[in-house]
Amino acid sequence: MPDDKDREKHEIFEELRADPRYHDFVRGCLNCGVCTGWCPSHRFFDYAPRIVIQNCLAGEDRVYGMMGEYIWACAQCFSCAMVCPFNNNPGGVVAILREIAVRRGMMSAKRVLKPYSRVLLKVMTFGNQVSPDMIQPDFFPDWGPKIPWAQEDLELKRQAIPVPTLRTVESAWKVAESTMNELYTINKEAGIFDLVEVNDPGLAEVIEDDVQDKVAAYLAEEAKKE
Amino acid sequence: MSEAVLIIGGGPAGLAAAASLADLGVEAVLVEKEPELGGTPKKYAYSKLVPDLRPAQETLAPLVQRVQGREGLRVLTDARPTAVSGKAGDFKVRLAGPAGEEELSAGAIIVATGFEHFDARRDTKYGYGIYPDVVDIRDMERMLSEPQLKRPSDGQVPQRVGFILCVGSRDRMVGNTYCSRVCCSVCCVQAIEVKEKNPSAEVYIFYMDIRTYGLLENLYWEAQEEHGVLFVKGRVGEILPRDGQLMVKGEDTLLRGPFEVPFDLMVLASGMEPGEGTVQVAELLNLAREPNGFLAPRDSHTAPLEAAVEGVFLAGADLAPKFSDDAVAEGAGAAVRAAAFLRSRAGR
Repeated sequence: MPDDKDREKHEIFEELRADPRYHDFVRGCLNCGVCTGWCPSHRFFDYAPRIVIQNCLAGEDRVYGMMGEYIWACAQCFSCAMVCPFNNNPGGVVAILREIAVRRGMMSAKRVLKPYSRVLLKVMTFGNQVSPDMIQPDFFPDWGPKIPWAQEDLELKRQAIPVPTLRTVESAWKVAESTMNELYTINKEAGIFDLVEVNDPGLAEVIEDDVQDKVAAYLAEEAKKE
Repeated sequence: MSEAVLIIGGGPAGLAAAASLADLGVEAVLVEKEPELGGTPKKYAYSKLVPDLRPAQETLAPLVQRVQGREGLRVLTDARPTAVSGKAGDFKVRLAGPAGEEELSAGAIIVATGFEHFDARRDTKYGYGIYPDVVDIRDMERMLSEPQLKRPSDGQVPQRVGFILCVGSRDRMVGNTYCSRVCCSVCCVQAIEVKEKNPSAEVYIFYMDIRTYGLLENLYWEAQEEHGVLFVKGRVGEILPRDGQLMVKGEDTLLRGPFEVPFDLMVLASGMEPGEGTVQVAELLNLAREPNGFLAPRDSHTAPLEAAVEGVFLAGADLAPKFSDDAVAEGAGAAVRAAAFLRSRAGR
C-alpha cells in the first residue's frame, strides 16, 4: 500500500506540473503574504494562498498534503492572483488540483461533490441548476420562514408568471427536447459523464437513465415528424 | 563649435555638475524647470537625509550656494529645453524660460533630470488618495519637516503608525519590477523621526525584506535597538477605514499569521520612477532607456556616466534609483567626463 500512495503522490505532482497553465501560475515567491492578507477564505479556514505556492515549490509531499480538504477551502475568487507582485495565481493552482482530484475520483472530491448531487442531476438533465420544486425548507433554511408558503400551490403560482417557458416546476424554465439532446451530447463527448461516473456512480446511473429516456422520446418525436 | 556645457536639471546631481565645471573653469549653463534649485528633495521639502540623518536643508544649501555668482556659469530656473539639434561639439538648444525663448550653443550636455515618486494611487490596495490618513513617503517628508507630526484627517498626533515597503516597486501588478533602493532606508529614518517626535507612538514597518544595503545597515539596527521600531515580515494586503481609524489587513508570514489591526497613520514607501523631465529629455536627445524607463549608459562598466549619443553625459536618479549623495558624486563625475570630452575636441 505505501507504494501505491507514493505512486499517486508522484503522479499528481507530475500531472500538476504538466498542466500547460502551471508555469504561468507558479513563478516565484518571496513569502510577502500579500495574497493571504487579501484572501477571504483565510479568514474562515486553515487555508493560505501563500502556502499553496510555497507547497508547489517544496515538492510532491507538500502538494499531496493539499489534496484533502485544503484545496476545497478556496473560494476561487482569484484575489490572490490580482495582488501577487510575482504575478502568481494560487487560485489557479487550486483549480488545477481540483480538476486532478475530480479526474482521479479522490475521496475529498467525492465528499465535496456529494451535497451537490441534486444540483448536478438538475444541471445534467435540464441544464438548470435549481428548480422551483427544490426550494424546500430542509434544503434552504437560510431563505427564511417564507419557504413553506412558496411551496404551497407551486404550480398555480408558476402559471401566474407571464413568461410561457416558466410554467414548469421541475426546472427553472421549460427546456426544449432538442436542447437536452445537445446538452447530453456535450456532456458525453466532453467526458463529463465519465467524471460523474468516477465520483458518484449511483448518480451517474440515474442521470444516464433519465437522459436516455428523454432523448429516446425526442428522437421518436423527430422520426414521427419526418 | 562651442566650449560650453548645458546641464539639464538643478537637483543634487545637476548642482554638483555645475559647481564642478565652474571649479574646472568650464563655461556652463544650468537649466531647472522648477522655480527653485534643489531638485526633488527641495520640491517636496524632504526632512532628514540618509545616511547621517542631517536635515535636507542643511545639505542642499551648500550645493546651491556653490553654483551662485560663479564666473562662466549661468543658472536659469523656470526654464526647460524644448528642442535640440546639431551634434556633439555644436548642439543648438532652444530653451523656454520666464523671459521667453532663447537659443544657445553647447559643446556637451549633462542630463541630470532625476526621478519622480511612484503615484501610489496606481496600487489600489491601499486607498491612497481616498483615505486622508494613508500617505506616501513623499507626503511624510513634508509632514516630518513640521515641528509636530499630525495626521491629515483631523490634525491629531498619530499613536499607531505603520510603514508599507515596496509600494510601486518589485511588483509586476503595478508594472515596476525593480527595487527602488532607497525606500527601506528612508522608512527606517522616518520611523526613527516619528519616535523622536513622539516616543510613546507604536511604529511598525511591514516588509518583504529589508534592503538597507551596504553601510546603511546601521539604520535598520538603530531603528530597532534605540527606538523600538517593530518589523513585521509581510506585505499588507488591504487598508480599509473603520471607526475613524485605518484597518490594516495582512499576514505576518514569520510568526503570528493573519492580522487585522487598527492604525492611525499608514505610510506607503512609494518607489522611484524616471521623472517627467527625464522622459522628455530622453526624447529630445534621442537617449536610450533601459527596460524600466531609466536612461541607459553607453557601457555601465567603462562609461557609466555617458550616453550612447556622443557628447551627452548622464548623472543622478535619471540613471537608476539612488540617494542624493550618490547623485552628487555622479554629477561631479559627469562634469569631469564632459570637460575632458570638450578638451579632447579642442585639441584635435
